[in-house]
Amino acid sequence: MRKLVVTEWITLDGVFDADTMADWFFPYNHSDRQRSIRDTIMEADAFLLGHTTFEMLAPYWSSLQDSDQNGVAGALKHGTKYVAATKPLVGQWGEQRVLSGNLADEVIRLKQQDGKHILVMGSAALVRSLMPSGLIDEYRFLVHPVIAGQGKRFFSEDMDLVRLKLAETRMLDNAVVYQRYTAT
Amino acid sequence: MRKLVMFNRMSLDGFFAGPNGEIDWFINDPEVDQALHQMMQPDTLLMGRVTYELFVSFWPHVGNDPNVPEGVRQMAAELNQMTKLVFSRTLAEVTWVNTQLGHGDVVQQVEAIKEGTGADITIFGSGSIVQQLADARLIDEYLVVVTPVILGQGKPLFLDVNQLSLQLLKAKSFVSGNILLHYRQI
Repeated sequence: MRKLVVTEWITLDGVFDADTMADWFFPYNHSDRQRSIRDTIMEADAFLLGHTTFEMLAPYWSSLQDSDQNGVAGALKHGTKYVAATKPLVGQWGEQRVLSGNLADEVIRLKQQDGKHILVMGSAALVRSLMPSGLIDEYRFLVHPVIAGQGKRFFSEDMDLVRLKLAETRMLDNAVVYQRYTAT
Repeated sequence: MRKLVMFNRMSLDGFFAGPNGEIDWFINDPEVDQALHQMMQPDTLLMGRVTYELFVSFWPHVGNDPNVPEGVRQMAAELNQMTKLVFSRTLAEVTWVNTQLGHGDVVQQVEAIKEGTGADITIFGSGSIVQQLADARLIDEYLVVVTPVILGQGKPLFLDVNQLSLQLLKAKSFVSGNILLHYRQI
């Protein structure tokens, strides 16, 4: 059974807002963080994304050469992007498929196929809808040293309590903390 | 200038307490307590009313109760001994030993305390006071114990504070699943 891994870049207070990344994400760029992001992407060969995240990432990443960003561009392009969407996607980014049926059923089917990890990036609404199903095996957070105070939060309110198991913590250069949790 | 250190436990989704102040999701671990103890030697504790009411219902009564673990009794003795300042607009009096009631502007009072003499100052819980002091840039260090729980709902620790960049001093994980994060205000 393949693992479903969720990776998120967030502030100390859990904000993952793309609109303010110039404040909390870009200033902390470092080869150590790049390596961490790359390792997680290279362990996957399928990407499960929400409609919004797909359309946000596709224009930039589809314009790159395979070797760009240390090979990350090629890995993202050639892995299949499974996108939870109720309408046709805007944009073309290598292999992509729309999942329009019951999401949990689709994910169970994907997890039963052979392959590397299935990786979720961003896609907060999709993660939220999958959480009760128990299909998420792992969360990997890159916690940035910023209190945002405001902005979109990765975890929204009114969810049920979920306990996780801490698997790994690492201080990256440039004050970012990598935290990996597994399902209990 | 005295140093003000915030200490709080926080869920993965950024809450320091449940919607009604619940703290039953904390994962207590003597190793974490010991690490915190080594990092903080405050002689003064700041609190808002809600945290005061929680504390005063428990700590003054621990005393020498033999049924209470040694570490907790020791903690109680230290808390009783500390100078405590409670910020409230509604409390008429405070009953805990060595406790004063602060009325009026929180920021001005904390500025005055920091300029006085003494050891470090700690603030625990007290989300709305933390938020005011963070915005006034009066919190020198942040100690956050990240608990491996997605709480789902509760009181956000850093609700609506102005954006603040921090310097990471330390990240230490524990077998209990807690992570101790230590930041300094830049």
